[in-house]
Amino acid sequence: MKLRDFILRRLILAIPVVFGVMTMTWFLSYIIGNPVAMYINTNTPASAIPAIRRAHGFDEPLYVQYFLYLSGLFQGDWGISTSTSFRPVTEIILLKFPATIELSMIAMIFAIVLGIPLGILSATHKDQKIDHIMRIFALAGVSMPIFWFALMLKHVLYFQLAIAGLPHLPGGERYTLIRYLSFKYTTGFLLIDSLFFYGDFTLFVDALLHLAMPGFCLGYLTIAIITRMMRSSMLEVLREDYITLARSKGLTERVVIYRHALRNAMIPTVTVIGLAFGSLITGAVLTETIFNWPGLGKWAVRAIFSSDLAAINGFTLLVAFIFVTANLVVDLIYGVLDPRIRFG
Amino acid sequence: MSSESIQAMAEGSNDMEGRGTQFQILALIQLIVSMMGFMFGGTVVLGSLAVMMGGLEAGSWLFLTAWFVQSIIILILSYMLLRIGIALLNRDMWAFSAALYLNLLLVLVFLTIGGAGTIFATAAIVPVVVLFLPDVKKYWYPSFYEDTVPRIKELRHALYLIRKSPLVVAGIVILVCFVAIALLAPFITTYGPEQRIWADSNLPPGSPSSVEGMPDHIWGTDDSGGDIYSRLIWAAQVDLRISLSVVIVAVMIGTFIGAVAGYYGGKIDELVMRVTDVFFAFPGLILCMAIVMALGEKSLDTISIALMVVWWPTYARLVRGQVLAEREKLYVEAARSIGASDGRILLFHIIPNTIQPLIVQSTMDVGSVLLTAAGLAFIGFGPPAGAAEWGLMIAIAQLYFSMNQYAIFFPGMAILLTALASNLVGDGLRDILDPKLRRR
Repeated sequence: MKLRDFILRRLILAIPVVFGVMTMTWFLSYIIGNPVAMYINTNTPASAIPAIRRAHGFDEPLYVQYFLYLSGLFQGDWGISTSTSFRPVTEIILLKFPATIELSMIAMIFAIVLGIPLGILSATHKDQKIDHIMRIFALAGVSMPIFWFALMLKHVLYFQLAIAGLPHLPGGERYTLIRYLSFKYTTGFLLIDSLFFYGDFTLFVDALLHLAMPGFCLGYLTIAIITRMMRSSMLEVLREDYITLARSKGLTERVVIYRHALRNAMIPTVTVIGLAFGSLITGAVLTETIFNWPGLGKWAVRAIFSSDLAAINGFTLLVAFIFVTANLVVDLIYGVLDPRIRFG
Repeated sequence: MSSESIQAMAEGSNDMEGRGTQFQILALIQLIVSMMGFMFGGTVVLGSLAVMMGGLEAGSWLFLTAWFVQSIIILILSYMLLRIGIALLNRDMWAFSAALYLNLLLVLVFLTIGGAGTIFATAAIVPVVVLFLPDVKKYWYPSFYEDTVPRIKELRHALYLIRKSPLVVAGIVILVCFVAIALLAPFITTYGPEQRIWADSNLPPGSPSSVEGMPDHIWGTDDSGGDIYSRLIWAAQVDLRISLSVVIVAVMIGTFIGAVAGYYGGKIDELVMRVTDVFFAFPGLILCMAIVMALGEKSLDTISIALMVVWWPTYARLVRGQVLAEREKLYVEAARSIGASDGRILLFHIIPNTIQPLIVQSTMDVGSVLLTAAGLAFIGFGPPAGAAEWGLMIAIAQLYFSMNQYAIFFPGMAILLTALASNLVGDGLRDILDPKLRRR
């Protein structure tokens, strides 16, 4: 199969999944849940409810409702978030999305920068002390309740240090509110805004410090996943014949590992990195609530408490779309990196 | 088959006339036991249903459900024993070993009921005793022995490998400890799950209670004066029950759907795979949130249902892939050629050969389900504040974070240890159960 055909086929396969995702959210909130609840509250007179039902098409047959829902989604009408001063869900998502992405990106950078070297180290020192330490570190990451880890980090690096009067990491928010007060975002990414649009380096450093703790906390699971994957794929590659050949040619261990083994060992790791986006966004829901991060996750949790069905629905849809896209991109990269996949 | 066993069989057929009555007595006892099982199971099923219909006081539903499930199992076993009893009359070879296993199983189930169950258990052990009478034993035991020895050898080798890896042993020990602690909760706790002494709020570990005569707070108290140590142990019951029941139900649903999809292929397979694709498009926690939200009730039961809905596709995928690989193999062809039905081939030939990755995956998922459930409870989907549940305990304690860290530390540690143990066991089992890796 040619590369172009492969990409096309993969793209076409993603379409039913996207429709399935939309059907699923529709099913959840419009069949099991009560969609009218979105538009009424305790002050709505009971006599007005039929009119509301009619206005939003909830008295139509189910297939018409489904069609209305889908067309609404495509036109950007994702409902109205009752918990966020009745503004459209899409508007709030656009507003809050950059904060979450910035956090996830930092977490991802942590994960890649730490995870890959740790995995290599673990594989090259198999069954030695350092390997055991790395494996336990990774295993703890996989089984760590992320909200608890966040609270513990905050306790040690923020509360305890602050009580002792030592320099400490900030415990929440995106920047020191008292110093910079209200801040007008241009792109929404604070790191980019502060450097390129404001030219304020202290704000940049401040934002970085604020990102450090939630970023590491969020990234820990991904670090663990990448370390484990890197270790096992590296061990597998190191058993191959061409590595033996490279060694018998008299190449140094360094060259064998970083030139020859690493490239092939990276292929499964790239997949895992792509798939980890899902876990990052899941983790963001928990991390953001603890670090008071004004992103999508915290918004979603707020929405839950006020039973804001449209917000949850929109959030679920968005996350699913991101996840599907990430999977798609991973598959495409995989196909480019490893020609065997295309023919399989 | 060894020469002795052939000889034994030959002898058996020679003086069949002499021992015919013994076999008939065995079959008769077997039939009586199965009838007793029917009676017992039927009575308990009807009784518990009647009590359920008639409304019941709070708290007793757990026992009723347990009874109901136990008696259903007894009914199924009794039916199988009825079939075995008929087969024993015809002296089918398979019926002897099946009778041995199933009677022992029945004894176990009866023993878990307690009370009158013990009497029935003694009755169910009679056929086992009869099976081992020297004359009867001579007929079936040699071929059974030949069948079993390699299996036992394999099992002992696996046990040896497990003993040899310290991490798996550590995981198993932790898991067993947690289960034991959860079961023994009424005896080792000093306070009730929702018992509070308001005067004692936010105490550090080891401090005595301010009320005269109340026991010390070993691990301190939370914001509303609940004893952390006791609440933690009570919560172990809740959390372990959620994660185990979710994994068991998800494995059953997933195995069924995956096996059917893989075995029949075609349109069913295509449909199932597209549906699982959609489920895989959502991260677990987020989909659970949406499902709980749609169900509209925030409780542990809705969390369990949501987790079951989210988790089955993993197993369906896994089993389907395995079944696809197995179904073309020669032994399946052989089973089909002697006229075994599709259900029989799937249940007794294919699924036992695909079960190993399933065991590994489900062991590891006990931990991930626990993490997700605790996360959901932490966000606020769980039971109402005050219930003993690890995630919820952290969520509440988080509000008083700066004054009292112990209320966060201990429940989190419990979650971490349980998840870690299940990952350790799953990780180790993967290496041990893989026949390609183990004989090296």
